[in-house]
Amino acid sequence: MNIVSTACRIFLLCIVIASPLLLTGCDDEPVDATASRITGTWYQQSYTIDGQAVAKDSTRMLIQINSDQICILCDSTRTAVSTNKIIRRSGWSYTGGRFNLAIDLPVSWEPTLTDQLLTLSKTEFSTTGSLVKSTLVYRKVASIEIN
Amino acid sequence: MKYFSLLFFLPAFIFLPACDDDLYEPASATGLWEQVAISEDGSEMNLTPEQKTVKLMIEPNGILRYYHSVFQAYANGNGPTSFYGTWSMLDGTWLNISTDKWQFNPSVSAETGKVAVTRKPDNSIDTLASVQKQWAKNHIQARFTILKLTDQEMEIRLKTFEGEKRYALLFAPHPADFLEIKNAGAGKDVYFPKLVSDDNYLTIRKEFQTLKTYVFRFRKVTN
Repeated sequence: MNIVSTACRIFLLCIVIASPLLLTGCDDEPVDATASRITGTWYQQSYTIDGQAVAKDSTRMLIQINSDQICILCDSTRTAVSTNKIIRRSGWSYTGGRFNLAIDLPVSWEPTLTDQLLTLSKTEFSTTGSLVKSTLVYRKVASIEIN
Repeated sequence: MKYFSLLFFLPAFIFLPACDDDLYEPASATGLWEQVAISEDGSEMNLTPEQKTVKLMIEPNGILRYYHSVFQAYANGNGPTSFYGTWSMLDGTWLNISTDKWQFNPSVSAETGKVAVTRKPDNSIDTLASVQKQWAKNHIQARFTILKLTDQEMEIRLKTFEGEKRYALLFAPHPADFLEIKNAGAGKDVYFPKLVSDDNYLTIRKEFQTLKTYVFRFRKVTN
């Protein structure tokens, strides 16, 4: 009985010692807070194509990214508030470091968050096969209710 | 006492299987790849200039976009050049890619043995109506075996029927296997596999019964 009891103690001790060593061999995915930080109301500041400034994208001057995975895209805050004119609603998700707007798929956006700015970049093939990079920069604004 | 040493290793047997030992990581597949060559049953295929333009953009969100210029001359030079599908890696060994494929589905008269085609009032062949009945378009998955995947090269193998490769967007088809659909209508494809006739029916049917091995080689352009 003594031998069995000692064996049990050693076995439990082994588990306690070995578990942390072995479990650390499995990598955990780093926590990415982008999905929560990206929510909010954003107003377009600039639009560039391959680094060249172009006219702002009037179809998405204001985007409201809601935590219920719905995104509302407006032409401007003023229009949205005064006439409740909502340009489009779209589902959104954040997967593999990409901001996926259902209305834009298969093209996805690479988001970069700094303080009050949200930069969305997408890359597409031109008709000659070269890559064209478009970048939208948004500034966070006070949330408005869009019905 | 001799069993005590076995007890010491027991936790290792319990916990070690929890760690996957995959051969390739999905992250190493993402990026922009340029097609270098394709081999068919070990022989390098002769590619047209349009087929040589293939580029794959494998994105970390599971979407695959690709470019080729096979249909660019269609629609008065405004034909599509960008295509898309999805991708995933299975067990670090296989690369699953979904693309457009066409199923060979022509009707053949039991009495005359002739391939059915739709005709216009002037008795000429209505190509659009005919090919839409002869081919059924699907967006389905092809499973490639990853032979090599480094930060510079990717080599993937697909064992499939010749017709499954030929009449599919894997990745740029041969221009002679497809035709332009004029006046297809808004939102409709301007390309379709070629018209099936009495002359080529048996050849195409045989292509869908001939198993071949294809190896696609790509070079990484950017991450």
